[in-house]
Amino acid sequence: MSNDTENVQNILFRVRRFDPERDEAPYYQDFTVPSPPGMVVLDGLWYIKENLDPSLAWRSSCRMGVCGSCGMLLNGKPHLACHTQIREVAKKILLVAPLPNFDIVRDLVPDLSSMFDRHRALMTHTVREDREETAEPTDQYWQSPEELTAYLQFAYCIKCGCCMAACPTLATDTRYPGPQPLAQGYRYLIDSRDGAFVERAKMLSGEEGPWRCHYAGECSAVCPKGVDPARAIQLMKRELVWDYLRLSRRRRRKPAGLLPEEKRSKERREDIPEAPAFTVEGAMSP
Amino acid sequence: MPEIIRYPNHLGLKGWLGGGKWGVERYLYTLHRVTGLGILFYFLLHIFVTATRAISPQLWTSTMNLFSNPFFIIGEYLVFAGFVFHALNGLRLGLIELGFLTGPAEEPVYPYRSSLNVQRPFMIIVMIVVAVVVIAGGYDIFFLTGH
Amino acid sequence: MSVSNTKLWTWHVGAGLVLLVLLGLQMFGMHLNDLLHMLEGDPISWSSMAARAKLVSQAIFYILFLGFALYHGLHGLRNILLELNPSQGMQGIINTVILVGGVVLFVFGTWAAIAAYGLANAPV
Repeated sequence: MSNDTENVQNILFRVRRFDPERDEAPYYQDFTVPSPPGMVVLDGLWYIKENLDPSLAWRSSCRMGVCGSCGMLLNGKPHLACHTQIREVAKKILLVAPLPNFDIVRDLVPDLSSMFDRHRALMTHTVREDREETAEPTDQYWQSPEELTAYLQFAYCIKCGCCMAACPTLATDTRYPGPQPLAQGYRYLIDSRDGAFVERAKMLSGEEGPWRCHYAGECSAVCPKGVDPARAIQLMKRELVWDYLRLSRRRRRKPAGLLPEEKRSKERREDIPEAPAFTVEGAMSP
Repeated sequence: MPEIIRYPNHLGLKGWLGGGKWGVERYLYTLHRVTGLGILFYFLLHIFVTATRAISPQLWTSTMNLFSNPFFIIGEYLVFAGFVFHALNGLRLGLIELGFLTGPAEEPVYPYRSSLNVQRPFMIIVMIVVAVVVIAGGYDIFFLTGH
Repeated sequence: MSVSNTKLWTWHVGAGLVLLVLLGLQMFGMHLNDLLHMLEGDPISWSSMAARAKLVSQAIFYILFLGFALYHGLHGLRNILLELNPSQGMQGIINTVILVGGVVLFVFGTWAAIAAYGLANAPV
């Protein structure tokens, strides 16, 4: 909570409620929350639960913007509740609603399973032929800083669903994968350690592809971690089109191999200190 | 296990319209669709109207006279304006969607700069060119033409 | 959909580029002529139109133009309609109507271009 006890303003939280066991349809309920500058929406929800209505339900966990649980619609735009100061988005009234484009489970809790199902369907894992090495790795794969930068930005996704809520295509089209699965699909497609470009290109030429994206750009505008899914999707289109037009076949080359023999370290480097002793008896063998 | 009840919550067509909270690029997306449909509708009629040139000069001339009514001239101007926007915005979208104006992937450092920031200067230039051409066309159609 | 969406989209963008040039020329000739003076006289008078229709190059231009424009426009329409979440059966209907409609219009427009060429070149 903020230390600023003066300048407290009462903000009206208009919260969308829905209890599937009692209600036919969602409705709005008003709560007055005293909000000093710096207080975040999540704190406002806790205030409501502790003082006004204990039945209010929402998802939250880390309260610091890394777990992706608390995505919700604040005054019409998707935000993380823990990451958003009340006074930044509201002057007098704050409309709090669950993320759209997902079914509602209860109150502010969206059913994110559609996003996770599509995420899985887009082969969001590295696929290689050397199964034994992947299962029991002997050493690192060799990847340059440039190859790392090509996908690192998209690896910051916390799967909060804000981009999915903001996408205009997803507003009507339930078969479009959505910015989060596509950005993650691209993260693996462009990873030099992945060897399945041909399969990915075939899959992405169907319904799972990025072709229903028309660059409204809202996914990138609302992403709380700067992942820029719009960029990932356009770069994915580029890879697929360039490959179709035979302008670039580099993705079809073999994936990154292990570090070359001469670069592998045989012994421990002298400048790396030994780990301290375990403090718990029999915890793990070194 | 009790049946899990879910309440559907897709935005529907309202999600295409936004309601004033979204960025410019989202509205350009909606306008691009609207102009595209308008041009397509005009085009499908246009195929039939211009086919009169294959029948006889009299039919052609009488058809053209029919469409010299000011109501149709204004409609034609709207199609022209719609085309200018759709074509130049389409050029911008084509460049973006092929990855030319998105900027490369970079590690996100707050405050985040996304591909929206990278393409914005180009978007502004495109919109200025659209405005100039649309105004020039209006000047030509309404003040210079002998129609 | 059996045809790859990658292929369809690439052609859509390619057709868009072609149209940018061809339709741009058409629009400038029709609507900015008094400023740019690309064509002689009133572009939609019979004499001006027939002078253009006489040329083989013009007929070829119009047929290509028609093909690209129909593809780009109808593929765009198909995108919009499929994004409205139709059922499986409705998707099939949309695909068929658009494909058949496009082919019919192309055939009709091609006939018109060739017939106009014939008419413009016919001895008076």
